[in-house]
Parts: sequence; C-alpha cells; structure tokens
Amino acid sequence: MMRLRCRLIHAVAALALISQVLLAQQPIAELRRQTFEIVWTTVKEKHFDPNLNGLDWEAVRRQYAPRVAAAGTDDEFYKLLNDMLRELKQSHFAVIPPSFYVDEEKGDGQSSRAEVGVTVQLIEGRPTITRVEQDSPAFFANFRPGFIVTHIDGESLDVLKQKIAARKERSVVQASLLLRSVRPRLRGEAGTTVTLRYLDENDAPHTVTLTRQRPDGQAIRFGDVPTPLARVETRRLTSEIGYLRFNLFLLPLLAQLRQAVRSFRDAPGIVLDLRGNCGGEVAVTTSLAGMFYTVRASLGTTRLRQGELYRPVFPQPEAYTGPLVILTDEGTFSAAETFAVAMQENGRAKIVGSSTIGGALPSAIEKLPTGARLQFAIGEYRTPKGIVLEGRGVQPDERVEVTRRALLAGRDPVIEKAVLVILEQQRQMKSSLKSRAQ
Amino acid sequence: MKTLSQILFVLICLAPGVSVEAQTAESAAKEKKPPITAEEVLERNIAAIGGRPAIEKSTSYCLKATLEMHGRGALGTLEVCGKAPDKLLVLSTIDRVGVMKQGYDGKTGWSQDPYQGLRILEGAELEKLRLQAIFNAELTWRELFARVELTGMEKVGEKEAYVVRLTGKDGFSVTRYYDTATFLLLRADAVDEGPQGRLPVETRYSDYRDLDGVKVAHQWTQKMPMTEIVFKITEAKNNTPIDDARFAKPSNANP
Repeated sequence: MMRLRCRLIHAVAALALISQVLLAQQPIAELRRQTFEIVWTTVKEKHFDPNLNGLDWEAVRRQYAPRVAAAGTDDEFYKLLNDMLRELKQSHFAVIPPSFYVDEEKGDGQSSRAEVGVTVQLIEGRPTITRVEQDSPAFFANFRPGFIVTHIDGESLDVLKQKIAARKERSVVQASLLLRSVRPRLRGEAGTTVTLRYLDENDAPHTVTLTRQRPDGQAIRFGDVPTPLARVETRRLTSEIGYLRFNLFLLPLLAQLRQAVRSFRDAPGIVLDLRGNCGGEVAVTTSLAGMFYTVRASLGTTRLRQGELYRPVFPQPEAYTGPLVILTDEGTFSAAETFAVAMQENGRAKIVGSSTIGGALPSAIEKLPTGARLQFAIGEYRTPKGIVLEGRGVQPDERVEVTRRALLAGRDPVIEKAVLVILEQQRQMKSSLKSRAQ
Repeated sequence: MKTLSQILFVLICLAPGVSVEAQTAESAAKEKKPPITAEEVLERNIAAIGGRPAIEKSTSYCLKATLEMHGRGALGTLEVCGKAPDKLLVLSTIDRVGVMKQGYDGKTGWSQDPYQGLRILEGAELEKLRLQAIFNAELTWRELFARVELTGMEKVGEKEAYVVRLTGKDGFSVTRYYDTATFLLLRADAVDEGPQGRLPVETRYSDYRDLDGVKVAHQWTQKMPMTEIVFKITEAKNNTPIDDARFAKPSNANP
C-alpha cells in the first residue's frame, strides 16, 4: 500500500512536472523570439555608429534568426545571441543570462558569489597564480604566487589556452580572455568545492580541493550589473609611497578613495594599482581624477549617435600634486582604461605594467523578456587628444614583464618599477628646484 | 548618473519662457504659411496661460515632482524653487545616487552632487544658470531673445502647432511648438551644451492645470539620446515664503 502511494505520488509529481514543462515551452519560445528581436533592434537603432562600421546587420539577422529559433537550451540560446553580438567586434555588447542575477532577484543586497582567493594570469605563457588573497581558502591551503594551475575540476587549462589561441586575437586579448575564462570557473556558490591541479615551486604536481568562501568586500548594487564585490586596499610602500588598489570605479567607494588619497598627502608619490580593475561609472573616474588636479582638466569625450558627452575634471579640495603612477595589465578594463590613458595623455601620471585590451565603450544595460540583460555600448570613447581607445588599449610608459621566478620569490616587479619611477621623478624635481634656486 | 544632472539642467532650460541652449537639431517645419507672426504667438501664449497680471502676481514658487525613466520605473524626486527676481534652487534625489543640488542666489551659482561635491559655477555655466533663474522669464522674451521667427506649422502628436524659433543674443536658440488652438506650449527642442556634454533634447509638455489662475504643465517628457524621463508634478505652490538662505551656496566640503 505504501509502495503504491509512493508510486502514485511519483506519478502525480511527474505529470505535474511534464505539464509545467509543456506549459512553459510555448511562452519560452515566444520570450526568446521577443528577446532576439529586442537585441537585434537595439543594436540597429541605438548603436552609436548608425553604419555599424560597415557591418551588414540585416545579413547578420538572416544568419542568426533561424539558429536562435532552433536553440535547444538556454545556454545555446544565449551563446548564439552573444555570438551575434560578437560580429560587431566591439566591447560592451553582451547578453548576460538570468542566472547571473540570482542575487538581484533575491533582493537582500548580498552577494552569494564565493571564491577560492586566487588570480590566475598568463605568465611566460602558462596559467599562473599571480595573487593569493589573505585569509582565503587558497591562502590557508598554502597556495603561492608562481604556482602553475594545470587543471580546474579536471579541465585542462592548456586546452583552454589553445582554444583561446585559436581565435587568433592580439596577445593581450588572449591573456585577458584566459583571465576572464578562469575567473568564473573558480567562482560559485559559497560552500561548493573546486579541485585545482597545480605545479608548485619545484614543478611538483598537486591536487587540492578547495571550498569556495564568500570573500571580504562590499557588495554593491550598480544599475543592472550583477552585484559586484568591491575591494579597496591601501598601504605604504618603500620610502612611504602611498599605494591604493581598488577593483571598481563605483560611487559607494568614492568617499573611501578620496580619503585614501588625502591620507597620502605627505607621500613622495602615489601608486594607483588598477590591475584587474573592471571599470564602472565614468563620473567616478572624473571625480577621482579631481583628487590629482588643481586646475580643470579633461578625461576625454564620448561620441554618441547624437551629441557627445564630455568628461570634465573639477579639482577637488586637498588634491594631491606629487608624482602619480598607475599600474595596468590585461585585466584593467573599460572605465579604468579610460582613466589611465587620459591621466597619461595629460601628463599627470606614468603608466607602469602591461597593455590593456582596449574595451573602452561606455554602455547601458536593459532587461530582456527572458530576464537576461542586454549590455550595449552607447558611445565611442576618445582620449583628450581625440584618439579612439577601443581595440587599441593603454600602452604603458614602462613595460614590465612579470616572471614566475619573481612571483615565487614573493616579489611584484610592477610595483617595484613604479617605486623606481616615483623616486626618479622625485630626484628630478629636487634637482630642478636646486638648479632654479642657483 | 552623470547625465541626470544634465537632464535636470535641461529641464530648467526648457521650462516655458526660459531657454539658453544652442539649437542645431531643427525639425523640418511644414511649408504652410501661418496666419500669425511669431511675436503674436508668444503673446497669445502668455494670454493662454493666464495673462500678464496673473503671472506677475507670483513672486515665488516651489514645485515637487516625481522622475520616471522610460522602461525602468521610478528614478527619484525633484524639487524646484524660484524667487523673484532671480533666485533658483533645483534639488533632485536620485535612487542609488543621492541628492544633487544646484542653486543661484542672484550672484553666485553653485552645484553639489555626490560625484563632484560642492562646486562654484563660473563662465558659461554660471551665465546659463543665471538666465535659468530669471523669474517669470516667459514675460521677458523680448529682452531674452534677439530674434523670434515663425518657421511654419507642424503636428505634435495629434495637435497642430506653430513652430517658433527663438534665438538669443549669444546665438543660442530653441524651437518651440505652440498649440494652434490653445496657444499652450506643446514641445521644445534644443541642444543642451555645458561642461558635461552636448546633447539634443526634446521636451513635451502636457497635463496643463490651473495654479492660481496660471496654467502649468504638470507632465514633462524629456527625450535625450539613450534615455527618456518623465517628470510629473505632484505639488506646486505659488507665493510660498522661501528664505533667501535656501538659494545660497552650502558651506560643507566634499566627503
């Protein structure tokens, strides 16, 4: 009797599930059709360049519409939409699936995203740990910068690297793609695990399973972007040089960033570490820039389909006037790139590190019928000298190649170079003052 | 949200009777010869909204409005106060941004927002605000504009409108569309140019209601590139006592 009841319950449950699926199928197909239409039309009508740089957008529609209609799964559907947007060959065009918005739908302002606490970048051609966060799962498992990660959950990173290489992008783009591909593989819900195979300092292989943990950082709601975690780090380097690292240009961090710069008022120089900084609000870049100017300046312009937006810098109280060095790498993106290049062009900062990829189009995000979000570029950023940064990237004044050996030795050659640049500027300033006095 | 401050600036500049922006995006007015002059349209508009005596009775006002972004819902609230002869305060509270203020006390223009903190306005930016602060500016169009011309007639929605282009002494201009039947302002087009950018703006006015004998548009829909914002007035008062200190530059420094 009990077994029969169980079977009945299972049968009823199965029927309910089947009917739900059948009921849901038709609306999903319609929602997908609407979503495709909105994505395609938004690009057609709102792209800042009405000619789409010569791309035949109608032909793109003919190519993708039947494939999108035949998509079997959500993953396939969103991949096709993103493939279609990639035809534009520009940054900031993407469809972000609804699964990225779990936290936003939850509405408690918290981020459920968890990490293991490592950054993996291409060093000397190998996916290498370049940073281990303090008190993270990786930190307690004795991971160190310089270890080479070979597999994540059984997936070979060499194979991933080869797939990226097959796209035949610029080397900086390949490095960025690896960074961005590894990051989501390491992230997940708090409490879930990820298994890493790596080579230690002696190239001995190890396999360790780490439990993801919610990292320190402030969860910030910013428009329709999936709730990011903001991190700010300040300290003093050699010779009392100020060091400020942060990962986002967002308004809730602005007061803290200003305060950090003010706290360095007596420093012989400041290092702004924008490696891995994903960008954020343009208005925050100009506001922060105001902390380094005593006269009005410009961080460039954004050309819209109609009209243009300027990026004026208004000097802020207690602005810092000493030497400034900005650190960049392939993870420095979007608004962070525009900030760096403009400060460099204006002669206000030296750039130390490596090139950025040039993903510099300001964008808007709109919700789609399926719950996904469409991010689309609304304008083309030009530097103060009128140069288009998209696809070009920031080129450092002092290029520094990071080696595995340096990482294993606990060194950061980029910061070391930045310190030397500041000390040299200080020496030149003193020498100049001395010669003027004579 | 940077553009929002621009939007608010534009809101003021396109208010009936006050315009300070350079016009480039002209609408193609129809080739109909209107049976009226531009000067007559502007005077008929003054009469239509209540007439000079009724308008001149007001020496101060405060209005409150809600802001909605097309497709996104509520964005925040807006409060605007003005006082004769030339004081103005615009205060907007924007979701996830905070309070943005702009004021002119008859001499000093200032703005304060979470991004730039407190700023004293200078040059063209100050001049723009000074013009925006002129009280009952619709009555002084002869002083404000060097040239007014009727360029034709055009439909605004379902309504036929006289198209009047007003050009300021410095070359700025705005194109306004007045209802041929009621002479109420239906739409204004201009290009907003300031330190933050240069943007074409189209503003439509609707839901005219009587306030102490003067008709006031209670809904303004502002279209700019990539955005459309609807302002709905929820409260409007004339001749409300306003302390001059409200228009003065705040003393607090930036965070």
